[in-house]
Amino acid sequence: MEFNVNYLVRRLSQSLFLLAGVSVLSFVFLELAPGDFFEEMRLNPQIPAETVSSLKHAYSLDQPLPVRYWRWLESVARGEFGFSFAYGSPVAPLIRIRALNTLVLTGTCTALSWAIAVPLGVFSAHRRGSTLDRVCELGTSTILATPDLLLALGLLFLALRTGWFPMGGMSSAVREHYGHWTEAKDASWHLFLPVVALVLSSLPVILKHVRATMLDVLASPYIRAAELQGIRPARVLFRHALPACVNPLISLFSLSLASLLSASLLIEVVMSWPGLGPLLLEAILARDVYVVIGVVMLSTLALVCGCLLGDLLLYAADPRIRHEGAA
Amino acid sequence: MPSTNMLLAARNLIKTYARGHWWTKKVYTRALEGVHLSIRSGETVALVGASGCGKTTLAMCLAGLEIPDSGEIWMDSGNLLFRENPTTETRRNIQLVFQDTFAALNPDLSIAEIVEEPMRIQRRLSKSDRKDATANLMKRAGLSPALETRRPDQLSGGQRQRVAIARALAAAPRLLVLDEPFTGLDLSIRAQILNLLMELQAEHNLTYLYISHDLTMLSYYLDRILVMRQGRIISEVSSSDWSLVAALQNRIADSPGNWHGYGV
Repeated sequence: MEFNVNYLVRRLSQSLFLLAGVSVLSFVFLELAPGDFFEEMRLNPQIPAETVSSLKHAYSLDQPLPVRYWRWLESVARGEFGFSFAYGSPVAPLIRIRALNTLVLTGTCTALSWAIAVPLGVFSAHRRGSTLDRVCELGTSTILATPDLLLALGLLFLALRTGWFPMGGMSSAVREHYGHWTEAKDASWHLFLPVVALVLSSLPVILKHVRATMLDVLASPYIRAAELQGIRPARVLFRHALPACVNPLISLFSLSLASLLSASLLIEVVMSWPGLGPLLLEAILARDVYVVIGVVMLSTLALVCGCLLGDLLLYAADPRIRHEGAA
Repeated sequence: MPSTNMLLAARNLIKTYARGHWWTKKVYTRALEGVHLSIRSGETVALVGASGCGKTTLAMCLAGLEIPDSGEIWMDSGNLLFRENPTTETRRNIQLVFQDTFAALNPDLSIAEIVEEPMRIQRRLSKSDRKDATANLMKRAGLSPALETRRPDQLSGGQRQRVAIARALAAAPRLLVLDEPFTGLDLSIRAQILNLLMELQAEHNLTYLYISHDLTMLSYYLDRILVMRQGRIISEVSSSDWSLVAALQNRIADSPGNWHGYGV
């Protein structure tokens, strides 16, 4: 496969422009928002105004926006991504740990959702109108109509009433005496409910998409021709029909990858998962601007990488796209 | 039971399509209203009629891609064709060449793979024999060996129709149903495809059932013309009766499609 370097360079430069644009907009919007991290201090009569002013000066909050943006760019170059007022540390290490926690959750959920949705969607389309198809249609429509928040609260209620699952967190409080196997079991136990909540919110969309795409392809004359030649149904499905569905599915998969760091924010907050969600919420409430910007930039980076990866996968999977690119 | 030189016979075929979901009232459309049909081996027959009169549904039923609600389809004076699961052998006896050449070919496969696929399924040839047979079929269909690695979107309409014909022949069929095979092709390409079909018919002792709106080119090559209207074959015209063929052509050009639906 001849790789189109121009295409890659063009996409990478577009991505850099997007990242730069998002960073500028983040700074502008946060500047427009009323108040800052030291706002509450100003209301406290025990803290002199000079102290607040000196703190703002120390953190460069009294500087004009372009100066602060330039200093933030310098910290990005150093790999720090700004400074958290609340945690008193550079943003990068703070976000790294939380992002890994989020990735554990969303990675598991994405893998599970796709592993369930693709075979179920293919089978549902193949057996259109069957009991399984109707159950899937009814189930997915019902779950889609239910808000994610309600699903998460329902699962928490289940955990509370039964005591089968922990109510939040990533691990049990006392871990010193645990072996590796027990730790893995403990992590899976804590992971279970957030993953179920996320899978329930993402699975119906993927399943409906796979089914609809597959139904379109199965009605194509070339699939009818394959049936006419006596090709076994399994081969018709997986050799002829599924490859034709790959393009729209890759596009959807790239969106799943793109939202790896942003799709679970609400569920993380509700289910007390120590990922980016609670960190972002706390940072927004406290006006810890560089943490907010750091999380937004990381989510944007994931979005850009997911879309780029999707495009590269399409480029690799579809010879027609390569042909158009070369033309 | 049909006579011994009969290749295919259909008796009282009825096919109804239902539209609507399981939770709504369904609307039923009767596409075939009791079709009787017989085709002798080596014949070239045309099935004509206005849009929506049931021609393609009949072709699908004959090929086994649709199961009729009732009726019988016989082949070789004795084999009842389509039960719940038609076998590979019964399926490959009848092949269909579709109207839309672009949609009829798998866009993800190369031309060689498309032509080879029916032979791969039958498992009657080794890999190298299959490759030789594919090259021969492509050559016979007037396709250059340079096209083997191309994909359908890189071919012209005429070339795609040749690929569709080569693929149909790869299944070694006895009856070829050609659904509007000249749609979208210019006059010279139509003539080339028609000549190719005639040559292949002589070589492989094929039987053709053309489904068409346009008899102007076909009428010279046909043995019989079956006229379909509202899901029934209403008359049969011998192609030697030129005045009737001309009148028929004019009538097809004038008459609108006419399905009738009824709510249940």
